[in-house]
Amino acid sequence: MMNILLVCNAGMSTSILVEKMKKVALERNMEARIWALSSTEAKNTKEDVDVVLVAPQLKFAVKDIQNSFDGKPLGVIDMRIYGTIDGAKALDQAINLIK
Amino acid sequence: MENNELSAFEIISNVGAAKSQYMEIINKCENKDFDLLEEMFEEADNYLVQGHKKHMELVQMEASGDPLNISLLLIHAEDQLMNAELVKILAQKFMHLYKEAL
Repeated sequence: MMNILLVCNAGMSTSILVEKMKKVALERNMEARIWALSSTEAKNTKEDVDVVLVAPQLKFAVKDIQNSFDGKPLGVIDMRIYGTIDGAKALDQAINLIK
Repeated sequence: MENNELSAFEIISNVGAAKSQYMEIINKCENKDFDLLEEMFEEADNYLVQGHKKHMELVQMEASGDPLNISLLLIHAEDQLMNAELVKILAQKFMHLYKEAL
């Protein structure tokens, strides 16, 4: 089971990307929990997180977010992947970060 | 609908990248690091222009009689665009302020 947390401003646009990623995970028979939180909620989350993906609009706050998830793999979603709502590539990015 | 969703995301990802870059400029100024700010502004401005272009396309589509499917996501994209515009102005002001305050 892979816990993938996406972080963005309000969690709105990112939740659409989450839906696309879930669909791809299902197609690949991959067991994954994928969800989106705002940056404020993410800092206080007590849930299990294996990898954190940050939306491109929060790139400037990445250090701050990293501090809340010390040691956990974390990456900024490529803006081309984000802009095309490419669930498969976003999922690949998460998997590559864990490796 | 699918097309509209993609247009909204194209705007959000571009203006979001611009806003993030403007914020990084402010962060650098805060640390009294004034290197490469012009280049950073240029890069951010390019992203902002890309977002504006897509937005303009939609405005023109609507003006030419093609009814747009107005979604909350599209409104959110416009919100992000306005946000980036504002942070740009603030970044310019902060840069001058920090440079002069030194």
